[in-house]
Amino acid sequence: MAKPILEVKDLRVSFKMYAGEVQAVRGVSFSLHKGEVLAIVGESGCGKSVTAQTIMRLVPTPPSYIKEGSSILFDGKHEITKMSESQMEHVRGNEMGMIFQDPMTSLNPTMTVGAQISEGIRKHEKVKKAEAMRRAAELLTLVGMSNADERIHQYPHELSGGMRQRVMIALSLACNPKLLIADEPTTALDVTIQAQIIDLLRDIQKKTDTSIILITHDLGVVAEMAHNVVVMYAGKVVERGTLNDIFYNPRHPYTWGLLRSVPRLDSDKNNELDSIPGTPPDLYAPPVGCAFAARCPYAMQVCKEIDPEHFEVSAEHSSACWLLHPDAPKVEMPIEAGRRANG
Amino acid sequence: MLKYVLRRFIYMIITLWVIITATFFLMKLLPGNPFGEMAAKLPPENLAILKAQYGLDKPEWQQYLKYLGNVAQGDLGVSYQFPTRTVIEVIKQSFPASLELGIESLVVAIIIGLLLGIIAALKHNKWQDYSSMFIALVGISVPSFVVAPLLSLYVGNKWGILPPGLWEGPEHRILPALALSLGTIAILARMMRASMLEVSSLDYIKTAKSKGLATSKIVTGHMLRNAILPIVTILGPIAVNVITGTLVVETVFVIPGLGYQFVSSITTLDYTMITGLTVFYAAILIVVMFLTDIAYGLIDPRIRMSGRR
Repeated sequence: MAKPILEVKDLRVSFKMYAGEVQAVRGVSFSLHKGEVLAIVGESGCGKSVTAQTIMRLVPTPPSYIKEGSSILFDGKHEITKMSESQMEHVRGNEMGMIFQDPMTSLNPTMTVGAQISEGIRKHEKVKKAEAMRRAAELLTLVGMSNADERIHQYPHELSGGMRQRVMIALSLACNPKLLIADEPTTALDVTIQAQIIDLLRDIQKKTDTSIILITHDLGVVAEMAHNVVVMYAGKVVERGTLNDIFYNPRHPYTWGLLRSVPRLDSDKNNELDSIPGTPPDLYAPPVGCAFAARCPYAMQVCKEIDPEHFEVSAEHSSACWLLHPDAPKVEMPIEAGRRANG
Repeated sequence: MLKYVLRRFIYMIITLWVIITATFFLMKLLPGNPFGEMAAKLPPENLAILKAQYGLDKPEWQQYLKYLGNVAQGDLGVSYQFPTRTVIEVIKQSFPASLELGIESLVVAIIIGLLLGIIAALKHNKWQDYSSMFIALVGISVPSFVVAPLLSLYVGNKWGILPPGLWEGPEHRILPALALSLGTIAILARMMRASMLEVSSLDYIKTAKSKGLATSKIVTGHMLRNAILPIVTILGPIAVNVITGTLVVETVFVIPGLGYQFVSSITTLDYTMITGLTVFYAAILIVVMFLTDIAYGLIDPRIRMSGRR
């Protein structure tokens, strides 16, 4: 198998605050191959955004610190955690692009969209301003905007939310990055626009064969475009597998909870939506055992005392849950297999 | 943009009219009369002649309309106290010094204030931040009537580095401008720091960083323009404040400016002079506000466009 484009090993990120140290990411490992779409899912505050932004070193230091022993190997040669700021400038935008959650705030209100797109091109490639603007117009056409030659002279406030997110995608693709990180790219958009943006991302992914890390809490989006899925909880990976593994054969009680809490068209209107009871643990002082134990209906004594390692289900599928230990009691999966969000 | 300017211009005229009207009638409510204690000693017929000469024998609405008409033609009337001088003449004679002093201290304040603010924000919570904010704190808490005499006494008189007063060569400008700008430096530095800190945490700064731009480029290209918007808003009132609020500094450094004239006209109940100078100050304020609005529109495309509808 070819070398992965990105290999994250035992990534630990903490924020040093007045009240103490918040361990936002507590040993995350995953890898990503060329052309692969990897979804990182989990609820708010599980560390998925911090993980994504740390890959581009966008989280400011201080207050955040990447801990000793963490490794982010990009393209087989760049060790992101050890690079200097000026080396990172070369990687950012050029080899990695990022799409942010809220297109209403992620574009500079006082610059035309053309200027914002061409700025990155001119930073990384020695081209004239006019040439960079022409490229910006091409990119806008690529992301499905008509009249690109006029659009480049418009300001963000003249565009709708969906259009702005297209501009943001164009901006992140400006220098043909090998890796695209999309941090909740559809969360701030309304549903019809969400579908268009996902279609666009999938389309661009096919055309350019870019690897994408998709950060989301929306399992519908995951089902639409991911190849592999990493489920995060309280700063750790609790389950990883292919899209089918996660949707048809989930093995971690937290993944079950996530899948059960997706609203369904055919559910009884009088029933309340399923939700996972309780709240995520305090990351100032994470629990000794499994972080999910306090909310887990199947928790055993061992769960509260020892944090489980990953148990392999298959070569690509593993889950950090004591229920997979050979000595553990057999538990029926509480959901029908194949409860995909899209039916 | 033209429509935006035009609309602002009409608002400006209306505001000015309201101020003239209010000042005119408020003056009429003042007790006493402009002819001072002499009026009591004058025979009634002489007083009547005097009143007729200044048009005070007519009903107030007629006086008001006449005054409004005169103001529209740029005539603010003749001083009661010095019947040989018109208000316009007094302004022409005294205002240049006040204006020059005001502009000089404003330029000093903007340059130093913004620089301090930017440095403080970029070095947030480091020694540069703390020392800039200490300077700002001193500037805001020590009033000009303390700073001006101290500067005049020590730098001017005891050490003899710069002239302690009067208004002659360029070296006479430095101390008054410094004394006048200190408070403004403090306000601008604090506002700029707060504004820069706010902008630096916004999403589009992260976007700029994700494009691989260097920090210097992010600061100059993305942060400054957005951070300066709230500063431009307060710059109008601040400019007027500095230009018209020179009384203390003018007195300490013996500068023949307009501030002195204003105060003396109030103590002598010089109706035309008070109304005239108030209208003049109001006009400056309104014109500067008007220019500020236009500048704001030029910097922020969102405002420029909203006038285009």
